[in-house]
Amino acid sequence: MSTLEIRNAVLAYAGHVVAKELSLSFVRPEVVSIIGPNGSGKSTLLKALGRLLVPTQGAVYLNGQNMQKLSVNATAKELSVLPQSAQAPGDMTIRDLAMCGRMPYQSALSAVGAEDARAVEKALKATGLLQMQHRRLDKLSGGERQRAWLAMAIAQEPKILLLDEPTTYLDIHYQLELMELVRRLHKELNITVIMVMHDLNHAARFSQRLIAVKNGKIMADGSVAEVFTKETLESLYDVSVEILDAGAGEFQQKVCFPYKAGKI
Amino acid sequence: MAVFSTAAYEDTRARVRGSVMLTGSLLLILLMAAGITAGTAEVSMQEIVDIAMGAIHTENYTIIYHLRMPRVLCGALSGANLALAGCILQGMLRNPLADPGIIGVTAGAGLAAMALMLVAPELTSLVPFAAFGGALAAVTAVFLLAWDHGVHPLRMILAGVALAAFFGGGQTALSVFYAERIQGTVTWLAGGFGGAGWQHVRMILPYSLVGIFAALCSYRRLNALQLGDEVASSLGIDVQKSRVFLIILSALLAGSAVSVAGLLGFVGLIVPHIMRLTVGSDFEFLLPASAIFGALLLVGADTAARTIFNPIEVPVGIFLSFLGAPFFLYLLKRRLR
Repeated sequence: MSTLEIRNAVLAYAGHVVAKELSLSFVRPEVVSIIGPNGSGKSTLLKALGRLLVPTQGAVYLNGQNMQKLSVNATAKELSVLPQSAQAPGDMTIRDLAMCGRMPYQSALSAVGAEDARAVEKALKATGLLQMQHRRLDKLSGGERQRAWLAMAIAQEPKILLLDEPTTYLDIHYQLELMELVRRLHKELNITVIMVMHDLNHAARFSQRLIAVKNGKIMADGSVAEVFTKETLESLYDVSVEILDAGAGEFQQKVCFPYKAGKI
Repeated sequence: MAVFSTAAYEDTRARVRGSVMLTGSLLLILLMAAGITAGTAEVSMQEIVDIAMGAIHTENYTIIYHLRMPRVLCGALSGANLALAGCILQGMLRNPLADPGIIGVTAGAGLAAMALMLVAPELTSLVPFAAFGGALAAVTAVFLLAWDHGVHPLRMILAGVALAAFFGGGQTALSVFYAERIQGTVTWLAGGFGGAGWQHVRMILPYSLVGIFAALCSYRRLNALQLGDEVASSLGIDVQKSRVFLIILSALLAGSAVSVAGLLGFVGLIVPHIMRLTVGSDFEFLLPASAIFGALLLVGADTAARTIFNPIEVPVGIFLSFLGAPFFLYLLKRRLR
């Protein structure tokens, strides 16, 4: 198990400050969704947590150590980030992509070891891609391709997995499939999953904790029951919403029904 | 059933890659031998073997040892270097149309060599050094122009284009001011191995050995960079450091090739591109295949260029363009269909 913390961070893009005084901590394996309006800084926050963006002030701590002081490689063994819409050459196979996840464990000339093969096998099995591991990426559906990227991240054997809007461009079937996969990976591998989510109902259903970000500030941080409320969502998105109970049989959940832009 | 078919796929891919490398290597050896044998003076294989073993008093010793051997070696090394440089740049910049020209190598080498030949014709023997210096100076300039908290691919390409235009202007200015001396530079600018000797081999060899080794060791970095900066960084690759390293590496490879071969623009673009279509985009195979076929292409083209139209020797650069461009277009068209 690994811990991740961001303390008093200022995040800036090209000299433009996006977020100030950010502090968050992730100390146990859980599924966390970061929600918030466009341009609120949620992707920037995820980048900072994943070491893709260095805070201009403050720092990110991985297992209590300042991440900037760790080697990139050491970070990569603990933490994996999947950016939105990553692209790979179409002639790569699923297995090739998964094998890339082993890079932090390999040196310039080392051969692929038994440990690498085992981790890749496990990642392919976990994502349900073992049977089609030799398929080319350009022959896959959007959902399969997203799972292939997830297989790469899992082959890295991270303790913390960061996903930036993993369900974008997927239809509802693949969205559900992917979210169920994320939940299963969290349970089976006992890892922390932190993801930026656009779909509030997926966020509420598949995560244990929600972080609401607006204008570069943390507006709310807590369990789904605490954050997924009419008051919070209305002021977060500046909309009018109603929280409803909905479901079918054993699948019962709270859903948010936004019915008007702006508050009535 | 599914397991069987995927294993078969893996087999075909490995077989294609293996046979491409093997055929390439064999063809390269054959072509190098042919390059030494072919020409106005007929020589036998036996004589070549004797000379390679150290015999020095055979009939055609001077021609073979001092003219053809270094020429073939220069061709092979420049070809491998240019193709590797192009291969690295295409991967690093994530742009299939990148070639060594894009980092200013061609423009810098061209201007420096031309300036030396026109302004101080008595120093013409120093042209390779001037070209190498010009190439490295241009790369440094492109680098500094493109640097802003790291090298961004698009900025790099724009800086390269701007610098090429600037240096091209310099070349035009030189050819206007020294119009009466321009004759001698034209051949060099067209690219070729006409005057290649052992001093040229000695010049390119160290860069080739180090460069080829370093390039072949960089396949994992390049594979990672191919997935985008953020993924590469998430995989534990220091993106900026890798870029700097790879730019320096391709500059040395291309610069040393241009210094002995003149402006051979096409190899660095077309060879990696064709190899990507045949062995795929995994740099573990793409790099060695590019090196082999780059060498093969230049040795073959040079031999053809100086024998087919005998006794006229066509500069290999011209030969390559007329041969390569249509083939390249054919490939693109086939691929787009």
